[in-house]
Amino acid sequence: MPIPKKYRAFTVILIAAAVSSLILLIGARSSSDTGLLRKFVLDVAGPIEQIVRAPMDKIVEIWSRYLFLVGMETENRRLKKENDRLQNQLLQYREGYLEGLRLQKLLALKEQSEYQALPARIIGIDQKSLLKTILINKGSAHGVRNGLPVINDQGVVGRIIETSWHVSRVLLITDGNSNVDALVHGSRVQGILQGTGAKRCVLKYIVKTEDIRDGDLVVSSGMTEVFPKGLLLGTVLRADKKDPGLFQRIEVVPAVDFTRMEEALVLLLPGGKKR
Amino acid sequence: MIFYLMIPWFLLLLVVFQHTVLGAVFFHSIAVEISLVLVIYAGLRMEVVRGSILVPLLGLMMDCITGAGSGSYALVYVTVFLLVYMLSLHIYAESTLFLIVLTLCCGLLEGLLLLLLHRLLNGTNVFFDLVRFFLPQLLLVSMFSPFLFKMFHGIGWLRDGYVRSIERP
Repeated sequence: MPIPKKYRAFTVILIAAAVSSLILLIGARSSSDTGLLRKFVLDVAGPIEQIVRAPMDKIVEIWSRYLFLVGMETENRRLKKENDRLQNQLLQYREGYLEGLRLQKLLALKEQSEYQALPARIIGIDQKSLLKTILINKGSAHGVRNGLPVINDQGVVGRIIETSWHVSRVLLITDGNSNVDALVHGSRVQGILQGTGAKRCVLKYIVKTEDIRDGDLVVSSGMTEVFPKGLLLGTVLRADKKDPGLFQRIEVVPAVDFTRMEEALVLLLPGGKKR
Repeated sequence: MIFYLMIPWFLLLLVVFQHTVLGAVFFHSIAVEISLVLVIYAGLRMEVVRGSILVPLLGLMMDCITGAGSGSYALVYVTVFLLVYMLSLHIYAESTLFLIVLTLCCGLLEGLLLLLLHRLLNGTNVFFDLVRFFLPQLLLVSMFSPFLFKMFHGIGWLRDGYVRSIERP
């Protein structure tokens, strides 16, 4: 049956809408594997992003290192004090470490991590869209797979959610969709660290009877085997027991400064072992 | 024919440029979504079949580059395209102020639809993002929209001499 000319344009647009809806439905139901078009676009965007990022990073570096020096003296004084305090602390930890080594030998425990670290360079940051993600310059060709944890020297960065051949997308722990099994370092209380979409996270499901203090360290608990146990996630900013309900509202500042990241490590499981 | 050959590469370059170059210029804190202006341009000026091919394809490219679920941007862009097309049947928009206001309204609608889809698909409530992320970038892109309109109009093969108002009775 021919479509009247009057409605032909609307029919074409409605077909386009139907195709888009179909793609959306298929995408929502399918597995987490990255599609060919996505891989292609990511692989094209990756090198361009890398080229563009290099001069911009240089400008930011020049600005912050040579031009923007307000408050530097106060900061310097504070850091010197902090350095003295940390030196003392380091001495204590060194003692503890040596003691630990002795005990380890005694128990014949061999330190062995099942993870291999793959260094990667950050080639793109996307904190302005719905998903808070970064792009790294390693992909499936280097053994990167969805779900692998990504860390840096400061702590946990996030996990891989999408891989093309030479570029991967990392979902940051600050994203609203990110959930990490965590525990509070001192008290060993376990909870779930969820991103808020802003620059903070919240530690959920900690009952009000638990004593959580500002400044407590939050580390990965290793329960779901995505992140190895004991990786630093962040520091408790404030714990609020006034919230209605059973649990406290605990705000956590991530250990990683996502705006200044340059490199990261992808933790690979050896021998193609799958989770 | 040249349109169908050029369009995938043009859209790919557009989204990559938008994401990388413009993202870097604004220190990755504000996204200047020129792709939305192209959708509005397609709705107002381009032939419907061409627009109906360009818009979902552009949406899919945006899905790929932003990491959003496949089809999210495509569906939202087609919705915006449909509404702008319906509007174009009643008015022939030339005024700069009209383009700015239209871009603002469409951007707001886009933000709301995206957040709604995000909520439906992922179950995450990020509606506060509308104020924090979408509004500033919306204001910026609205200000640029008349200039971008002229730029898209200057790309000959995009409309191939066609202007919608000629066809209307």
